[in-house]
This record gives sequence, structure tokens and C-alpha cells, in this order.
Amino acid sequence: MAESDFLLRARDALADTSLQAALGKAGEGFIDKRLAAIDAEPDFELMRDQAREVRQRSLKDLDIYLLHFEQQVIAAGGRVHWAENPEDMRRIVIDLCLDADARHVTKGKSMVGEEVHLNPALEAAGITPWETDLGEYILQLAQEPPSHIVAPALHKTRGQIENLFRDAHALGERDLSVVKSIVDEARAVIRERFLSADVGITGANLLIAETGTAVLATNEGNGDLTACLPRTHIITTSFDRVVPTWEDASKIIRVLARSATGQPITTYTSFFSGPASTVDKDGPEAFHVVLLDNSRSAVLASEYREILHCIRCGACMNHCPVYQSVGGHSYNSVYPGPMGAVLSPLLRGAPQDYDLANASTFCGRCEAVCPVRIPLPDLMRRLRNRESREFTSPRKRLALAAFTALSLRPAWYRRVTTTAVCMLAWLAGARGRLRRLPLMDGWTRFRDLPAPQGRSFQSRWRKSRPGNDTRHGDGNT
Amino acid sequence: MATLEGDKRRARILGAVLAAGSRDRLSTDIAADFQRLAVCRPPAEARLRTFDDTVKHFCQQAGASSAELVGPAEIGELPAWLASRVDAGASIAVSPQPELAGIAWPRDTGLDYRQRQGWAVVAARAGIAETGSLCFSSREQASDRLFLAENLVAVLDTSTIVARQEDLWRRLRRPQPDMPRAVHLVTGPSRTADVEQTLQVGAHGPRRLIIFLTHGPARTEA
Repeated sequence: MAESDFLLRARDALADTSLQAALGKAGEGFIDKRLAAIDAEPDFELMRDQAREVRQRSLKDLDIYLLHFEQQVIAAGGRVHWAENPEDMRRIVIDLCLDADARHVTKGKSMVGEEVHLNPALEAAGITPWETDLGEYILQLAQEPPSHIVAPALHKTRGQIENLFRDAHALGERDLSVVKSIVDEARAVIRERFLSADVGITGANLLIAETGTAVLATNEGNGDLTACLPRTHIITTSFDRVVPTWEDASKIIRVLARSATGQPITTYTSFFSGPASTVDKDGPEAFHVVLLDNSRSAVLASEYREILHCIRCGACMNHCPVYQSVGGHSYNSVYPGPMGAVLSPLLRGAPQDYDLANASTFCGRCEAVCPVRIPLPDLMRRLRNRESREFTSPRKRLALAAFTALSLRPAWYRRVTTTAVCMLAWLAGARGRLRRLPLMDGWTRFRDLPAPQGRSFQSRWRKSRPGNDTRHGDGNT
Repeated sequence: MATLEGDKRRARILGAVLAAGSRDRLSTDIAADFQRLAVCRPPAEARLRTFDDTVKHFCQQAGASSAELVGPAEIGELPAWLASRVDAGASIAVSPQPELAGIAWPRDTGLDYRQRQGWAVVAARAGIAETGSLCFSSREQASDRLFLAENLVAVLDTSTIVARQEDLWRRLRRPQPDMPRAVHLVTGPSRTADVEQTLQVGAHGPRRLIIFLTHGPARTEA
């Protein structure tokens, strides 16, 4: 299904009526909820500054924070594993599950888990993964990847979900026409799984170096049931999630939900520090944190470093006009939207990922809403520069060279544009617009091109200001 | 063999992280370096606004998160309140915490994970006014009590309500600096918006969260 050309996928997405209906429902909702939340919070801009400062400081001395995090996890009785690439992470997690004699594994939402394609690998190793986040569960039934980092099944309509449930759950005649009945059914089906899983795998929103703690922010409670009930808890995450202290974590938590869903905080924000000790009333016997690199260390050393500040709130994609039109699957990446347009090419290094940075009008909404003020358009522009250095076709290079030459010679520029302007005006005739134009089909297919009204600006300027010729005539602007 | 490979991967990743920074060697005294960097920082959150009435702000925020607020009242009034709300056949599981001991509960049937009308009663460690959140610690009750009952009643002493999360962390670090296995901040009942972005209260966790407020002992100036 995944074609290599973003434009082809986007075209399909625009024609997909179910997807457009789903996107329409999601569209203004996220935007309005976030706005309401920040209007209610007079300190929001200060909170953004504090969150950004925490992310900057975390990356500055990341080596020390990582070492301290590891030391603390081990002291609490847990273990830390290091994965350089997706294959490493899959291998590590599978080995941990096999060591725990796991046949069934519950899963909380983990973007890093999706990034390394963990589920197919688990299945191939004879281990059954059960997604517990409702959105991820729906996608598991549909056998589709997520299309949004916070609301993974955003592209699905209620009707599509109803059909999935009818096919997957043999529960006879029942009414699934309202959202409540769908959610209730999912709750009942998944509850048994929480209680019978051998291993629970979750992601982590943050890692706290001070005490070797993983922070999990969810609304459903599935993350906690996955982390607390089974004998083994495995956390799949990346090393750039680390912040120094609990106070630093609070600065991030404070802007995360407000930016993502418009809530002051998610229903459940939990802090897990190792396996159960003798003074804990319950909890897993084994606690494992698997840290993924997958080119993040290279990004850390590069001019794209700021993308690692991302706290995965999804605000950028909620506000992106491109994302809202074509949805997440068009990006063909676990990380879609503006943050994905920067991160995906950096993690994957695939030439077609440059399409993602090109699929932007640089309207700047993403940067305006980013809680940690990542300069996303600027990072996308740098990617475009990189692409043009590596990949521009000879024809494009020639056209750009011609334009450069023309621009540097004002007299020639004037002659060429004046000729073009007169020709267009003549072609349009009395109507004053052009319905078709060679080489401009992309424009004229949907709209008319208004014709120039006569002379170029420069010639009119000269005409209307006699005597200025010698001083302003050939001036380079 | 696997551990040797793991050590090499660790060394390469840490080496790459180091190369991206300003140091040329990994720290040999991690605790001291961390202490120097992280521990004695001025509290930036002090620049955020203060709340005139912490308890009132807590109640406002908790209400906005769809939690139901009862009281402030005496803890001894809770059994009668429960009896008036809970269905005859529904299970009630009271967490064996000191705050809830010595009280004549209507019944204490234990946590029935599968029952649809089950109730659980727990005592919260503290409250956070900023977001109307309750704080629980795995040293005080089993985490599953917070998530598996359909209806959760949390007893909260109003004298334990602090303004911001950071105030709570400073309190939790006394007397022991090591943290419990799990600290849970709970704000309202569980919910999801994964179906057509329509908010549905009652996902995997409780459908109802009731906060039963009690007056604590006289508060000393914090």
C-alpha cells in the first residue's frame, strides 16, 4: 500500500471520503480545545519558556543524566538496555519476553515501539501482543499503522470501527451505533487481557535521571494496567527522553496535555521507579528500560538538534493545514505532520522522506503552537537545502541557473518580463483572464489566471515620474 | 555473550552522545556531577502565579475534570454516604490503610476485578491544586485498586493539598529520598476520545471518581 511518492498518497487521501470525514471531525476539535486550555491559563507563555529551558538543559549534559538514570534504575533493582537500531531493540525485547516465558504481552502506546515495528517481530517469535490503548487496539484489528502520535486511529470513522468490532468480537447481536457502546465493549474485551498478560510493554513520555523513573501520561488507564499488573514491565523508549529531576519533569507535564488535548493534565500521570520492593504493596518483579538510538545521537551532534526537544504532544500536526487535508498515512511514517517532516528523514535517511519537508507552506502555525518552541519551518528549510545540494535534477538546476543569471542582470530581467507581460495581456484579450496556459496546468486546471493589465510596474513607474530616469532607471533594488 | 554485545552497544551510544557535547570523557563520579548540575537549582515554578485559596482552586479543577466532590466532612460519615450510593449487590473494597481503619464500612468484600458495579475506597497521599489531582503511592496501596474498580472513592485530607506538582515532590522526598515504585497522579475518571474524537468517560480505569474531602489536623504554616 505504501507508495514511495508522498504526492501520490496525498492525492489518494484527498479522494478518500471516509478519511476526509474523519479528518473533518477531528479538525477544529483539537485546535479549539487547546485554545480554550491556554486561554484559561494566564501563565502559559511562561510555562512554554520553562519547558523549553528544561529540554535544552537536558540535552546539554545528556551523558551525565543518562549515566545517572542508568545507575538509579540498577540501584532500584531494574535493568537498562541499549539499542543502536530497530533490530537491536526488537531482539532485546523478544529475549526479555522469552526469558519471562511470556506467551501474551499487553502493550501501552509506544511510538518507539511502532518505530521499530515491534509487534510483527513479537508475533514471529511466537509471542502475542495485545494492544490496550483503544486507538492502537482499533488499528491492531484493522492491521494498519497509526496516523497520529496522540490519536492513532484519528483516520477511522465510528462506522468503520463498528464494523471492525463486529468482525473481531463474536458477541452476537448488539447495538454499536453510539460511541459509548463501542468503548464499553473494548473495555470488557481488553480487561481480561490486562489480568492474564505475562509481560507489559509501555513507552515513556519522560525519563527522570534523578531517580531512574519513567513517566507515563495516559487518559484511559491502560498504560498503568499494563505497567503494574504483569510480572515484568518493559519500557521501550529513546535516550533523548531524559530530564534531570522531578521538578524538571513537571515543567514538561504542565504543557504536554494542554497542547495535546486541551486538558490541564492527563487523567493518569504515573511515575515508575523500578520493580516492587518489600515496602511496595504491589508491582512487577522485573523492570527493564530499553533505550533506542536509531540516529538520534547523530541528530544530537547536528544542526537539527532542536527536533530532539519534541515532547510528542501532536499540536503541530493538529494545526498543520497539510496534515489536516491528507492525514498521517500520507507521510508513511510513525512520525507524521511537521515534527515528522523533520524527524523522519533524519531517522530513516530515505531520499523520499524529503518530500515531507517539501509538503509545507511554511505558514508557521506549527512553530507558533509548539510548547517547547521548536523552529520547525526553519528545520524543514534546512532539510530542503540539504536535499537541493544532494538531489536536484539537471533540468531543475538549469532552470535555477537561468533564473539566477536573469535576476543578476536587471536590464535583461526587465526585457524578458516586459515581453512576457505584453504577451499574456495580448493572449487574454478582452476577457482579462486566461483559462489555459501551457506549462501552467497545475494552476489553470482549477482557476483562471488573471492577465497582467498592461505594462510592468517598472515601466509604469518610469512613465509616471518624468525626470527620474537617470537617477532611478536601472537601480538595483 | 549477550552482555558483552550489550556493553559494546552501550559504549558506542554513550560515546556518540559524548561526542555531541562539550566533554571528552564519560563522568567517573556520576553522583557528584549530577549533584553539581541538577540538584541546587532555584525553583522556576515560583514565577508562576499563586492561588488565593488552594483548597478552593483544587475543588474547581477537580470538578472540571469530571470528579465528584463530597464534603468536607468527617471520615466517620463516609460509610453512610457509601451505603446511600452503592447498589445492594455491588462489591466494596476498602484499602487497608491506617486512614481507613477502625471505621464501620457497610461491607468489605475485596476487589472484584470483573464486577461491573464494583466500588473501591482508597486514601490519597496528597492533592495538587493546579490540576485538581490526587497523589497515590505504591507504598500505601496497591496500584490495581486505583484502576480496576468501576467506581473509585478517594478520601483526601484538605490539609495535604499543595499548590503545584513541585511542592509535592519536595514533600515526598522527606523522610526517605528514594521514591516508591509507583507514584500516581489521578485527575478525574478514566476517559478516551479515540472514537471520532468524541469524549467518552469510562475507558479502562474507573468510570467514576468521587473525592471525599476531610478536614485534617490544624495546618501549620508551610
